This record gives sequence, structure tokens and C-alpha cells, in this order.
Amino acid sequence: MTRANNEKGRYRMNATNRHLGALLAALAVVVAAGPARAAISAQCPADTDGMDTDGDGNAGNDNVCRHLIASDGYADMADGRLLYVFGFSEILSGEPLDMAVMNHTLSANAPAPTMAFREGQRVYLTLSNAGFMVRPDLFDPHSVHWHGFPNAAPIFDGMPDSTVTIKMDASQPYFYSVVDPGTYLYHCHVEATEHIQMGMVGQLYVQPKQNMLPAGTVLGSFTHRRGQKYGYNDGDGSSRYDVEVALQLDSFDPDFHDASESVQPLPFALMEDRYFLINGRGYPDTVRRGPMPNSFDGQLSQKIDAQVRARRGQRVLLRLSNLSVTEHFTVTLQGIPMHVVGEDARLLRGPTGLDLSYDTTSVTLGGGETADVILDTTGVVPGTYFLYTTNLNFLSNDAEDNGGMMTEVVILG
Amino acid sequence: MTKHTTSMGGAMLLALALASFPAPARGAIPGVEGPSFSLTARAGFVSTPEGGSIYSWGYADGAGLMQYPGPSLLVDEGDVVTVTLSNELPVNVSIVFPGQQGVTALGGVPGALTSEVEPGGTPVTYQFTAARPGTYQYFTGTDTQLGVEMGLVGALIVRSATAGWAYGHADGAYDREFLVLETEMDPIIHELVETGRIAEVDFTAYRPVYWFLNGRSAPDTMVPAGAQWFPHQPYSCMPMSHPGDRLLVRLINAGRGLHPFHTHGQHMRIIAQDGRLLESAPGAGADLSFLRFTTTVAPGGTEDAIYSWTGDNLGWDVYGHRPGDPLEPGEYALDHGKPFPVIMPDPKDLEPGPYYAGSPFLGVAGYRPPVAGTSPNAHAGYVFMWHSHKEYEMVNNDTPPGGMMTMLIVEHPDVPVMEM
Amino acid sequence: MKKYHAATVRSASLAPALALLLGSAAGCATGDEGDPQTRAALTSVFVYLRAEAFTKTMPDGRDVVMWGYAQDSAFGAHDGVLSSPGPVIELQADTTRLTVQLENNLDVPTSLVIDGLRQSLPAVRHPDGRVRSFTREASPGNVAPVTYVYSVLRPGTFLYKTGTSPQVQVQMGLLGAVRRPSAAGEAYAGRAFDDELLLVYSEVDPELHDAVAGGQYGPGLAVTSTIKYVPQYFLVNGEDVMSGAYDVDPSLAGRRLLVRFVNGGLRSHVPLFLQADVLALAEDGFPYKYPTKRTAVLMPAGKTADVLFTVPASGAKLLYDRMF
Repeated sequence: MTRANNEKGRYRMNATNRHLGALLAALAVVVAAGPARAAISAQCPADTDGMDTDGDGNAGNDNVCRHLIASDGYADMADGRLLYVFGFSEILSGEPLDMAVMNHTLSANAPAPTMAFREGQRVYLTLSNAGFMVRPDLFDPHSVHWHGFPNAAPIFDGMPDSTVTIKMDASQPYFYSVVDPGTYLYHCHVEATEHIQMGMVGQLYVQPKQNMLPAGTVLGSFTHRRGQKYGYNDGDGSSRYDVEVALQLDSFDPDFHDASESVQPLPFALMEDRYFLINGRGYPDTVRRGPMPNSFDGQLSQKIDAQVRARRGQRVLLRLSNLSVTEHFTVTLQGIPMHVVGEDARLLRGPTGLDLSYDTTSVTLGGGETADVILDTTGVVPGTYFLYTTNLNFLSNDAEDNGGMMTEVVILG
Repeated sequence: MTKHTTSMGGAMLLALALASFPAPARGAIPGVEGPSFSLTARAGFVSTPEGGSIYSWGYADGAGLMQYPGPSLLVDEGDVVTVTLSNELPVNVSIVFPGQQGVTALGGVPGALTSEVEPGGTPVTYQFTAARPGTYQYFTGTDTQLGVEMGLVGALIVRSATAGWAYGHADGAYDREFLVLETEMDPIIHELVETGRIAEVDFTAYRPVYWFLNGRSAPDTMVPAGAQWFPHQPYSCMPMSHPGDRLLVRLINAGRGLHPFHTHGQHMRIIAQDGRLLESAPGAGADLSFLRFTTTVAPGGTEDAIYSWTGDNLGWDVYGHRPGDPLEPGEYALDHGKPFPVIMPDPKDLEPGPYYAGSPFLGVAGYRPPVAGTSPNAHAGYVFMWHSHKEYEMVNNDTPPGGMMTMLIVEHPDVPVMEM
Repeated sequence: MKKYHAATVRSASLAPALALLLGSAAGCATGDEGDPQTRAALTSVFVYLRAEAFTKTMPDGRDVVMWGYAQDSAFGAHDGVLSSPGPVIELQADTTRLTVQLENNLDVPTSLVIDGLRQSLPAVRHPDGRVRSFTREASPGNVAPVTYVYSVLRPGTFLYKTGTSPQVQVQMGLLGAVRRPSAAGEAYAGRAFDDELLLVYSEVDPELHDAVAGGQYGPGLAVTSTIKYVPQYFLVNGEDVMSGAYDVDPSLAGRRLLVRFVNGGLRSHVPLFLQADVLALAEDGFPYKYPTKRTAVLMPAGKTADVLFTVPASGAKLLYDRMF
């Protein structure tokens, strides 16, 4: 038996003890916490301005309200290892707010719920803080940083040094008048290195008003048809797509997560990620369709799969982003070239209108960078294609081979 | 969790105290004026925010102290630049100037990339014509792997013939300019070199744990330039602005790693790479420029970015005006007088940051829950972090936050912008 | 301590006869590719590659088992020389079809893909459903060639590599370059060159090589994944010279030099030019609509890049890797 396997066996024993402790702690607090403890609230004004700012023909629906709550929880890596995480989950409309802290204990999603908005919407985003069940010694506030929001004001930027962040059992409103379409991302900015490594990351994108054009609108040599969608207000149909898939690259250092769970000093200087993820999962979990329950308490903590499915001839928009705190990643799609139409939530077009979009075989993203990639599947033979990192040593789930940052693109006939 | 606000706030206070002295005119990058330079490669110690002191090599201005990074060489377009290099280090050194052509080297001994100065040997004089304006770097061309790690790097800025333009086109016009030079260090290598064990240096085990902007790790990036307790690190990195100012950000990756540099508050328009305006044809302007909220500069390369925070189009009045109030200069009129869109929670539920001035509005101080010290953001500016989004680089060895990070302060139009 | 790389600049005007079989049908019909006589048109290139292990002695004296390719004159001929990177697959401007026939003399299955080309990929999976190979494999010791046909070709520089367990097999050395001009002496339409340099980057982690070659890689063995990848040798065109520089001689002054970069490594590298800046023409064989000037060329893992410049009177230096 090898050293690596012995270590793994030892880990499992430790992990079991730790997780058991967490469960007991959770039970204890659930018993202790009554409704009086929860000061969870949300602000969601009605849209009464009489203007149709999102262009969908309805003047009364431009205000959008979402409610995130920060907590801790667990997520499974593709080799079966359970990792302690911090994260966001969503309080859905109609949920009783006085029960929200209790209901969202240990409910962190990895990654966080995806925020998809439309240009012209006014977003009222509430962030509540449920605290960390497994780390009752911590009283971390949290924030939402809409990474890349243009002309951000500090009060809604989530950067803790320049604004206020929300303490436990309380709620803070964020407001965004959504102007610029494109692929962004969001994360907690409190103790950024730690909280992002621990999993407080999510996808965020904005669809353009061009989607709302009346059928038959002529855009240069292109005619908009009903239901057609675009990555940007391109004016020429060049960012048109049929299928939209958001893929967020990330990576975890299991030693860091274990240290956090077991109240040990956090290894910042020695941080070294060993799980390489797309939408919070390593291959082959990336292609396990639908929400995935964790092995701790069965919560659907990893809700977003990473499989891409399209019919031959369709155009696929890949919204790629990276929130790793340690690595740039290069990803390729074997057999199907990529056409990059946007980067960092901006159409690739120069200030005088020159077309800066480009064809490539791979895209490289550092943490906090995004790209919008169109896949043209015209003439592609139906079958399964593989999107993976060309940093090939990351095609592993820690000590397990044949995993990591890879997913499948299924082209149907 | 790591408690950091106190130490960060302390440094900010320090910065503020120093910055209250009269400052030079807006937006000049400190450095050494050319076109003739005399540099000496010598050793010294780089300070880190948690009290560390790292033996390093660097270029000194003549008989001055070793600097990290080396002196920013400031020349004008068309200058015939001469750089005479002496060497007090135990190894050969040299200088290469990527982006410059026709560089000649006189004296010294032949090296792989250029002529080198032996330890204590006769100086080498490098000469070239700074034919094109732009942002460049220089570094040692001798055992570059070790030399760059040890600190033998610096910025070369070739100013355009047109004052206030980065390049020969209005697309490069700017109001204020700032240098953002990225490097990193693995202190184990420095210890080996310091103790005469260069032969034991193993770059396959390379593991940087310090990350610098202009030679300092945060929060020292925000201590004013020239502060006497940073004798070897004279440059700060603290951009300041008014709303609507065009900031020219001269980004240089002088290190060996990739750093995704993120500017809170607004995109950057990347107008040049490696000292070349992104233009489709000469004179076309930056018509190939593009917008980025995070940019990774290639090691050895440079980018010039224009950053301009305007506060436009937020759907509420960032000044907190009432509808009848006069407009501020450059204010986005369509949002004028629009009310703040949400009700902020009870202050007791909120953790205020050291730069939080107590209100959501630009230039408006409000109730600020008591925290240690007073806010260094005395004029209630808007404060935006600029940092590596490879967040493990926002750490000083094992201690977050710090590293490759600084803050932009956008001050209210009525508040003079200080030079830091 | 700088090492100079022995790669030679290739003159387009003196373009040597390619060491490839042009238009030779050589009796390798695969049944689904039509009449062999038709395929034998001059626009077709046939390449016989053999994957096999060989031992390379590194500059420090350490022997490292590499996996590489040899180009044989026919399947089974075994008259080619093994190397990593493998032989350059040379296509002509009018080549419309590339056929590669693969012989596998390794003890594991392997295969061939060319990055950046549209291709149909019948994947091979492990019993647990995970992909093992992006395309069909050649079994160890295959007695009949496995044929890969590429009929959608374009000018450019490409990376070919194994499509089987690439995390293991690429770092073992199964990679190489493909190049195709747009016309004789022209990289892409309107981009003429006089001389050409092709630089293929790769990395070697000798511990991982030892484990794989010594049967100590796999589930339950000493090394179970590629997660701990610590390259110690950094190769350009197969030689451990990445710490050094390439000297573009002043005698080439005034000539237009095309440099084709291929990063077959798992990490990024940044070639940096001194005394010259270069026009970045293309990445992955896709020409840019608006080429721009650079001195530093970021080459992420798997990327190819083509740059062009007129050699100045001083000559120029190419630091192989500013990230080294």
C-alpha cells in the first residue's frame, strides 16, 4: 500500500470525526435558535416608474429582487473527498424570512446561485449573513462584489475596506442599475483570499436589450428574428447564439479547507490548489447532470453541472470566467475552434467600431477575467467533444487521475 | 478569518499624515530625469509590511542606495539615452531594454544578451535613441532568472513630445499618470544568495510569497513616495483622481509570474502594449484598444491603460443632491437628484471598513460607527481597490491582506487631490 | 552560463525538399477514404509516425525516458529517428489532405490529435465512463496502422499531440508541430517572409517520467496522478536551453524572419525579443484581423503563435522565456 493511500485513509477517519462534530454543533444551534434570533429582511420595491427600461414591453417588471444568504457547508470533490466550504445560497421568494437563518444553516452552494440579469433591469440584491455553523468562533461579515460593474459606487461594491459589510443575522441591500451586458462574476470580498478560496464565488451575467428587438429588425446585413439571442448589443448579429452555457473555472486547496474546518492556522503562504473545477465540480462530476447532493447531509450544494449540449448547426455561447485564487487556466475544446466575441463583459470592438473578435483554439483566463466564446457547430459531426485545460497536469482530482478541469460538449444530430 | 482592519487602518493613517504636506503638481511619476543615467548594481534590504527584511539586489541611482525597483528612468521622445552601469555585486550584471532598438553597449565583457559588468569591473555604457514614446522596462540580461528575482528591474518611461499624451495621439491623453510595476519574491532564494550559497538556488522549487507594486507590498504601497523608513523602496503606488479624470496607468510586469490585475470601480481601456499604441495604422489612434476589468500583462511586457471613473449611469445621485441642487463639474445629469435607492441597515449590523466615511455619497461624511482610529479617508472620497485577482498574491508571506494591492481614491471635485 | 540554441533559421528561398512523402499513396487505403489513386494527388501528404520510448541524456547527465515520435518511410519500416518533439509535419500551401498513419510501439494505447483543426473525434472511454482518449487509439504493437485524416486544413502553425491520457502522455513527450504556409515564402495571405524559425517548447518532470516508464504510475502505485508536476528540464526543440536565448545574427539584417512558436508544455512561457519588436500575426493558426507589435509573447500551454519582423542591423536576441 502506498504512502498516498495511507494518507487518504487517515484523512477519512479524521474527516469523519470532524464532520460528525459539525453535525452535532448544527443540531445544538438549531435547537437553540428561535425565530427571534433571525433579523433577516429584504427590500424589494415595486416598479412604478411607468417606464419599460428593460425593453420587454412591460413597464411594471423592471425591478428584480434576489436574496442571497451566506453560510458554510460542504461540497464533494470528484474523488469523493468532502470539503468544508463557505458560500452563498438563495432565499427564494415566499420563504419565511424569520426562519431563513435556520433554514439556510450549512447551506452554502458551490458555486453560488447564478445571477442572470437583463440590461435595463434594476436589481435589488439582498445579502444576509447566517454565520458559520462549523466555525462558531468566527464572526465574519460578508459582502457581494459584482466584479466588473461599471462606475461602481463603494457602497454597493462589496470591498470591505471602503464600505460596510453585513454582520451575522442581519441583511444588507445592494442596488444595481444594469446598463452594460456581458459576462461578469461575483464573490465575497471580505477576507478575500480566504473567503474566495473557501468557495464564495458565483456566476453573473447580463443579457442585452438586443434580444428584445421586434422580429424583422434589420441590423446591417443581419435580420433579427423572434427569439434570437445575443451576447451583446452587437448591431450585426455577430454574437448571436442558440444555447448559452456559463462555465466558471475555479480551484480548491483541500489543506486550506481542512484547516478552516478544524480551526487550524490557514496555510496562505503554502496554498496550493489540488482540485480543478468547472462550476464547482471536477470531471466526471462536471457531466453529472443536474444538482448534486453532498455526502455530508445530502444537501444539493453543487447545483450547477457543466455539460454543454447543442444540436448540430446551433451556435453556443460559452460564458467563461475564472475565480481561482492561485492559477491562470487555459482551456481548449478539442475539435471545435472557438470564436471570442467578448472579454471582461465588453464586446470585442474598438472605439471606432473595428471588429476585434478573434478565432482561437484556447482561451486563457486569470482570476477575475471572463470571455465570451461562440462555438459554431455548423458541420460538426454529432458526438461528444471535450473541453479541458491544457494545463494538463490539472486533469486530476488531487491524487486521482482522469479528472479535474474537463467537461463534455455533446453535439446532437 | 484574519483580523486586519486595525493594521491596515494604521498604515492608512500614516499615509494621510504624510500626505498632508504640500505635494508636487498633479500626476507625475517620480524617477530620475534623463537622458544620461549612472546606475550602480548593489545589494540592500527590502522591507515587507509584517516587519521582514529581504536581502535583495537592485539598481541604484549613482552613489545612492540600492532601489527596488530600480530608478524609474524618465526621458523624452527622441532623446539619445545613455546608461552607465557599475557593479558592486558578486556576480556579473547588465541591462537590457526590451522595446528599444539599436542599443549599443560599450565596455565590460561580452555576455549572452549584451555586454556585462564584472564585479567591481569597468562600467558598461548602454546607448540608444528613445525613438518612440511609451512605457517600457529594463532588467538585467545576465542570468536573468536569478537577477530578476533578486530585484534587478526597473521602469523606463519615454514621454511623448506632446505633453499630456502618452503616445503621439489624443487617444493617449491623460490628466494624471501612475506607475504600476508588478514583481514577486521567494525569500528562500534571497537567503541563499545572501549567505553565499547561490549554487544551491533551485528554481524548480520556486515559491514566491511576497508580491509587490512599485517595490512595496500592501499596505506599504500606500505610504507616500520617499518615506524615509523605506530607504530602498522609494516609490509608492497610490492612484488619486477626481471624477472624470483620465488616469494613465503604466502597467509593467517586471516579475516572472502572471498577475491578473483588477481595478475596482471601472474598466481600463488598454491603449498600448509593450510601448506600442494599439492602432490599425500609424496615426489611426488607439482604434484597436479594448476594455478590461482585469488585465494580465506578460512578464517582460507592459501595457498602458486609461482609467476614468465618472459615476455615470448608476440610477441614483452619487453626491446625494436634492433635485434643485447645482450640478457638480462633469456630473452625470440624468441621475441628478435621484434618491438613494435602498435603506441602509442599522449601523450596529454593519462592519465599517477603515475607508468608509459614513455615507454612500461622494464627499459626504456621515455617522461612522466607532472603530480603532479615525478614517484615513478624511474627505469621504470613493475608494477602490486595485489588486491582483490571484488573491493568494494579496498576502504578505502567511499574512493577509497585503501583497499586490493598493487603493485608488476618487475625491469629490471640491477636494484637492493629493499626490502620494 | 547562457546556452545558445542550435536551432537553425530556415531560409524560405532555399526551402529544402521536405523530408516527407508527398503524394505517396503507399498502399494504405483505409476503406472509407475513397480510391487510393485519387488520394495520391499532389495535394495530399502522408506521414508515418511511430510512437515509442527512448532515452535522453539531459545536460546534467541524468537519463530520462521520453516518449516520442519517429517518422518512418512506411508503416513498420522503422527507419525514422525518435525525437520529442516529434518530427515537424510539413504541409505545402496546396496541401488539402493530411493523412497520418500511426504505429504504436509503446506499451499503452495512444492516438493523435491536431489542436485547432476541426475534426470528428470518436472518443474512447475507461470502463467507468471517463474519457481515456479523445479519438480512436492505436493499440500497443498494432500490426495495422491507425489512420488519421485531416481534410480541413488552413495555413498556420499547429500542435499535434497524443489524444490519449494527455495529462500523462503529452508530458512524456508525445507532441510535435505542424506547419503550412499560405504560399511559398508566405505565412498568411500578404505576410511574406524570407527566413523561418520554428521553436517547440516542452517541459520534463523526470520524476514523473521515471514513474511512468518504471510502471509506478497508476491507481495504487507510487504516483497516482499528475497533480505534483515539477518540471526540471525546459526544452526548446527538444534541447534543455529554455534558460538561454536565440541569437538572430546581424547577417540576417533586412530579412524578414518568421518565428513560429509552439508551446507543447503544460505551463505558460513568454518569449521576449530584444533589439526588435515583432508583428504578432496569428495564434493557433488563426491570423489576427489587425496584427499588433509586441516584444513579449505570452504563450499559454498548448498555444501556437506566429510573429514576423525585419531583422534590424544589430541583429536581435530572443530570450526563450521571460517566465523561466
